[in-house]
Amino acid sequence: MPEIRPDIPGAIGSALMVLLGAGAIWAARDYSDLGAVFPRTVGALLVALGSVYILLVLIGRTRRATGSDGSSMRRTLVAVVMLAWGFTLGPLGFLPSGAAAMAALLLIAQHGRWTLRTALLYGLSTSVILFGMYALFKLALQVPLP
Amino acid sequence: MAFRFRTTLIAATVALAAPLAFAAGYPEKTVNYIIPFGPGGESDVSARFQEPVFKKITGQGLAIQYKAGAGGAAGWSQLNSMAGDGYTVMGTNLPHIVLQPLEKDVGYKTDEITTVFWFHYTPDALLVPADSPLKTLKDFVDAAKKAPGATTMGGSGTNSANHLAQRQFDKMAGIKTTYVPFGGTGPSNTALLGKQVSGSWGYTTVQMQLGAQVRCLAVAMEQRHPKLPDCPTFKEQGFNLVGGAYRGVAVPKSTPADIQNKLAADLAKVNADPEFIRKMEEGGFAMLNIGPAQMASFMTDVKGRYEALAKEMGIVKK
Amino acid sequence: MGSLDFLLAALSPLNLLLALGGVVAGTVIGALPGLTATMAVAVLVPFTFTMAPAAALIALGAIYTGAIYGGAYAAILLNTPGTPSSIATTFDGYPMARKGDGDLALTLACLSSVVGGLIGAGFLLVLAPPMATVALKFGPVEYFWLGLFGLTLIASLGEGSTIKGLIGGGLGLLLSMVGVAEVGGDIRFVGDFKALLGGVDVVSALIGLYCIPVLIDLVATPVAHLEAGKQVASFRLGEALGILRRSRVNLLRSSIIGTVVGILPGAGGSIASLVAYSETKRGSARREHFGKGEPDGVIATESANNATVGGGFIPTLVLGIPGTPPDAIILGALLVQGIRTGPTLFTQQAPIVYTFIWGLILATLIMLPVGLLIGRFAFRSIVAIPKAVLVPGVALLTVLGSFAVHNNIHEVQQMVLLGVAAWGVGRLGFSASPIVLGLILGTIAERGFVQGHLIGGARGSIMAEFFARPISMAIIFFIVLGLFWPWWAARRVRLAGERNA
Repeated sequence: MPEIRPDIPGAIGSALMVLLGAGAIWAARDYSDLGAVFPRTVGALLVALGSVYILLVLIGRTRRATGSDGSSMRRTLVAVVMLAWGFTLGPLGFLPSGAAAMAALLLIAQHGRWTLRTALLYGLSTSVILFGMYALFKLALQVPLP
Repeated sequence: MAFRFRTTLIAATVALAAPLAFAAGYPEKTVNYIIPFGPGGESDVSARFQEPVFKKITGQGLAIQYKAGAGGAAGWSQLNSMAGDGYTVMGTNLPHIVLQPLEKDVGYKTDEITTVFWFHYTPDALLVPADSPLKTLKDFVDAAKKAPGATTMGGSGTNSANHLAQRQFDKMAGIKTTYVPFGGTGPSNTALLGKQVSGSWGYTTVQMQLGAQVRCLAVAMEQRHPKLPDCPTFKEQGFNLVGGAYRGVAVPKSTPADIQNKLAADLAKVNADPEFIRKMEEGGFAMLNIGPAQMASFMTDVKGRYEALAKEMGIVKK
Repeated sequence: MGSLDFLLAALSPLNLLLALGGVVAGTVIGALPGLTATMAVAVLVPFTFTMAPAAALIALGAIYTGAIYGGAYAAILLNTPGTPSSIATTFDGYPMARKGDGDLALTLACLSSVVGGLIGAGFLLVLAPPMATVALKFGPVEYFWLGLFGLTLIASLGEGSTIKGLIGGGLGLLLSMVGVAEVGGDIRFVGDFKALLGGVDVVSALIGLYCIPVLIDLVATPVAHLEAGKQVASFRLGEALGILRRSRVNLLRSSIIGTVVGILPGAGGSIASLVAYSETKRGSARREHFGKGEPDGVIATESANNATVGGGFIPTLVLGIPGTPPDAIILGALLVQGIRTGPTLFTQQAPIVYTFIWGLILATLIMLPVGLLIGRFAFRSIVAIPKAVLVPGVALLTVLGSFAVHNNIHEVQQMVLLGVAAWGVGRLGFSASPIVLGLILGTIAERGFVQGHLIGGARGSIMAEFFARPISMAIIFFIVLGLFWPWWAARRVRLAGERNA
């Protein structure tokens, strides 16, 4: 029997969507007639559907997806690193930001213990990937990397 | 004292000469030529024609890239944040760069775009499918008068050269047609060929491209285009409509003046190449040569004209 | 007709070499998550300028078709699509790999891609001009209904709650409206970020929405993402052929869907594979198995997406309008070569076009042995790479892939922002596919709606414009069918159950 637990995360998400939908409708008040049709319609749709879902959660007819296992800390760190990478790419340039980000990711992703061997091996292979792709794109393919 | 003076003099000379020397060597590597539209349009095609001639004249290539979006505004709004070393240049278009900022905040102002050279324009042309019952401009005007608003005219973009032409002509002829904007010349042509619209406002280049599948009712030139002898001008038929879309090359504001001048000089040389001229005219383009010397007066004149038109048409919202 | 001459020309050593090299390069690039077929073509186009026109086209076509196929590797082995066209391949490909059937999935992907590619190229060879005429009949209104049809697919994708799927679709629709409106010129949802004036870039969004959440989840546990022990890297060719023969209706139908979607300008492999997947699932007796490792799923998506290669060239060559995103870039390459597209292309420049089409067919055929071989190699190596190195490697590829299409840093930022957001809402139970559908179809649907509204208004009746056109009516019929079919089928099952009880 699937456990009927209220889908709180889903409700939170739906609440967010209701806000977004309302925001869209509000932003559309400045737009020309034709330009506002879709924003208003979609906004209304989001508000409606989101509210319906929250209702379903409240009356207990939803099913919560099984929670995910594993380290949330690491996951969040990866998200942070990727965001940082995206925004430092310009100011720092491709190689510096790439090296920093990839090193960080390597550290986050490695669960086992760090031995000298693994450190060297992984560090080396990551560097090879970084410099190899840099050479491929910038030099061989003439892509103007930052 | 004398020592100081001499050093200063030498330093000053070097400082003055360096940029000149720098410019004399320009371009020393490939120049990035950004087209603020998608591939396949008139801006792209004309740039592609320029590329080999530029390489022949300067020894360096033009790397053409695309940065499409918002009818060109996506590119122009980012132009001045790019490196001003002369190795990043961008295509510019009239009336776009005058009309867009007038209507709303698009992220740039007309005066912020530093165009170094205008090298051609594509004259407006009124096109209908080849098997359309409208055979002449007069037929068109009569049909539109009989059913106001029922004639649909496709075109590329809102508040673009096509749109302007439609509004201008509607006013001149005293008719009312419905303008249907498409995402570019490509989709607009598809709609015309598929008869989704009654006709379209395009350019002479479109007529050349689509050949016998479309009929040109009129062109907005002083005289008939050399390669389109069967297409009468608006003027001949009683309407004073001359114009189209102009295309040029711009650089970021921060680019040094001498590099700008050298670039303009190189582009002028490209424009004088007979093979280039032949290819352009066969494509339906009309040549133009506006360089730094005439730039200021040209822009003032053009801005004035468009602003007046925009006000008349009610485009200026702000 | 001289058609045989063109075939012989395509068999010239240079052209064969280009076809082979293109397929290999394309497959490798497509296999790397984050590097898309569009990017591969974009980056390699400048190198074709010095080649003869037919040779250049063959090279680009080979890269394109190889990349579309290559995307299956990452989809099956890493659960990240190598290119947007292989998004739907992750649905059943990765579960198959988890069950130990990864090699079978790869072989099926290869065979299906080859068949799909051949069917698409076949249409190009024989029916291009007439099919292009059909494409012309699709006006703005038809595109609107098609967009809506695509959106109803969200309901049938069935990952999780339908309501949440629809909400996701709505979110995607909102994203598609960011930027300057095509009709009317309003600037919407941009705020002060001028970089958003061009709207959300679809490729960056796709890379972000699919690759980043998977990347983030990879680091969560130390367990290897695929157990190396379970995978026996053999071809399982016999088994694959058996499955293929059983599913030949699926194969054929999906390939045709792919070709048709490719012909419609603007729609590419990602939409084609999603439509094919959903149609196959809908009509299958084994509906419940889809999403858990059902071979038919892989067959449907991989044949459809390779069929878009040939199909997409039809409007590109005949009308000068790109059928799929990589075609837009190939158009640029054609212009440089001085090839003016249009109906006359097939008559006046027949040698170039037909040599190219034969070259494409050859490249597709070459993909068979090449794909199987590379597949085995990729299989062994990807499974063996330690996760710690895989994560930074894939991350680098996503950054490169989103940058290199337009050389635009903002697109990298869009990619990571959307990716992290997708992971966030994914945790809340909203999956990425509906969002992607909304994003891609939103533009198509809205544009069609607004233009149709203008034209309908001019012609006197908006209602007639939207509802009375033959093709539109056919599409509306399918929409209604699609919405009611699952309900109807479930009802019949229930009634039968009650009758038998």
